[in-house]
Amino acid sequence: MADAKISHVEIAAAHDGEAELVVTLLHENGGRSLVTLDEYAARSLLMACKANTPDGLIGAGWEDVRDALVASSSRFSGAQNVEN
Amino acid sequence: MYDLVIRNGRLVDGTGMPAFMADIAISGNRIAKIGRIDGKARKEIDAAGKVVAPGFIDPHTHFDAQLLWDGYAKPALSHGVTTIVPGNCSLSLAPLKAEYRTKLVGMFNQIEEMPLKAFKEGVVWDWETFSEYITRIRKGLAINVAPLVGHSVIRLWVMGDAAMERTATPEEIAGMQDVLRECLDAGAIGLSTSYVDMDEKLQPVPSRYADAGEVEALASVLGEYGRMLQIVPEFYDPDLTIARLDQLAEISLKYAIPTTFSPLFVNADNMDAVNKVMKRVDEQFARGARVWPQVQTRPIDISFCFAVPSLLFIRLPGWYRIMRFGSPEQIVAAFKDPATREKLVAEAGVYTALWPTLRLRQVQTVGNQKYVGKTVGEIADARGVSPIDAMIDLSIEENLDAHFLAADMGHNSDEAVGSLLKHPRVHIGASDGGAHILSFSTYGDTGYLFAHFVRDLKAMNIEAAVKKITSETASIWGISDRGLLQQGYVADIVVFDPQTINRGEEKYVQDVPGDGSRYVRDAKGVDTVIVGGGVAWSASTGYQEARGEILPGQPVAARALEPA
Repeated sequence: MADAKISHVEIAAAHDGEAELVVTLLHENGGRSLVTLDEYAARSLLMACKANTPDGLIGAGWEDVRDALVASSSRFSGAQNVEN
Repeated sequence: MYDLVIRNGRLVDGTGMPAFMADIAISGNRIAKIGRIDGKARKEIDAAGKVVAPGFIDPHTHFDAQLLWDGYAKPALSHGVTTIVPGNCSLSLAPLKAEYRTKLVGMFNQIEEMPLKAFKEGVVWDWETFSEYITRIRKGLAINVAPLVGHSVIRLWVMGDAAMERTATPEEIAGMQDVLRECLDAGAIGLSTSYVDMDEKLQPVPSRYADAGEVEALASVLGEYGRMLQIVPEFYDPDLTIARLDQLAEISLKYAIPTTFSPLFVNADNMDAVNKVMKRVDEQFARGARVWPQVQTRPIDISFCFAVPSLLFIRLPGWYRIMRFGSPEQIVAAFKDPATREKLVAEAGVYTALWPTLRLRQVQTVGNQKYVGKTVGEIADARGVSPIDAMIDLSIEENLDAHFLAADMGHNSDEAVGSLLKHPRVHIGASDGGAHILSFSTYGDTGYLFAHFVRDLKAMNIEAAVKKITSETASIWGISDRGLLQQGYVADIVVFDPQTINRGEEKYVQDVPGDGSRYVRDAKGVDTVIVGGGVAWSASTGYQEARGEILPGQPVAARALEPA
């Protein structure tokens, strides 16, 4: 897990008709896992990685993905806010 | 004299066996005879050139609220659906104490996009218990309803506000078991729960606070009745989905109950993940567990307007930037500024093929209503501009309240979806009928199955497709005496033209209480829909008799369950 990095990024259609971002994390042992990000989480990740496009996320670490998910899920409890 | 005879049809009887020519005679609500029927009947239907099949069963809907003002579940019934399962995803409208009505309406609004005003103006709240709710919807029921009871509402009933805060005590779990028994006795076909949904405050729904012991305790009650457990797993993550699948399998084996999880989507880029999930499904079925994945037939469309940031534009940084950081006034100003617009148009060249295919779904101004339902390409031709300019102009004219649809953006691999749909351990479902009404139409998945996967792609034959959505569904859910064309079975029947059956174009209609609107699709190629021996809908006369019933499940273990 220590060196899992984003190896691929796709735009996908979510269950509710919105677009979402699916990133593939490539693990050290060659394993892959998919992580789905909503608009808020995707934007958080782009900002954290200083990326302008999804391809700019390639190579980012799993910790950045985790932090983006935490930011998204905790946005309504006031823990972290990237609105501004 | 028979009450109704359907003559000259090609019977696809739901067994999966080859179609055959015969007549069907109906007495009361039952199929009295199949063969050549002599003599007159009180009513006759000529099905020459048509297929006659058992009524379709939709196992994943959210018609809970609509059934309070519409016993036909329009337009689902007109598509040939004669039985629906509402109450999925941990949410049902009963049992519900009066003080939690506002809370539950908020959850339905958040999760299923059912407008608050519809509840306010379309619902007379005269029930609390599940039994009272069943009594309430039974009046005027034209479609059969096999209702699930939601785990979240059972928690609210027993635990009150604590249902949204913590795990349950042993006493509370025992209380939930008692409530579940009452619901099953009153006609619930099973229990639904969710591991992903959020409430109106974007907090986890009550069912998500349950620990594994609580779910298992409720499953043990389902075991007493042999009834279904439906869950929404973390479907966006294949590893978590597999973990839930394993949990379901243990429950299924321990209590000898069927379980189902939904949805399971497949795209070109997640084939490996879906294959992993299906491999585990096969392994668990081999152990004797019943863990049915539900797969929807229709592709997923993406909707957007420029007032709300959409990741559809994330590969166009200029567009995404103004959507993300601009106020509506700033976005309109950017669209109007010649230099900015020129840059946006240039950047949009990346998706040249996409823009003409977008469909305009909704506008506010009277002048642009004539374009609703047309593609941006068609509108561009009518206006003599490029598609991208047409989209920008419409957005300016509508002050960004022009809504567009990008069709078939997900769950859109014909080969992969077709393979899944015909897989012997896949349950065709997950339509979400009655939900997401302001985002897209959830009606017509059965028509799409026949039009796209049977007729166009030939991914399966018509007998297999009919079996998948009739007898197989009835067997999985323990719905007795329905799902087959057989003497003695209840006469739930659909007559359709196999050459034309389809879902119509999506359209925006205002037919929800409180002047509300929704997206629907009309049926194409469906001739007659019979429920309980009465004509509930026909293409020539519209909605008619209301003979729908509440269908409590039968213990599934008592029924043959031998998928092909």
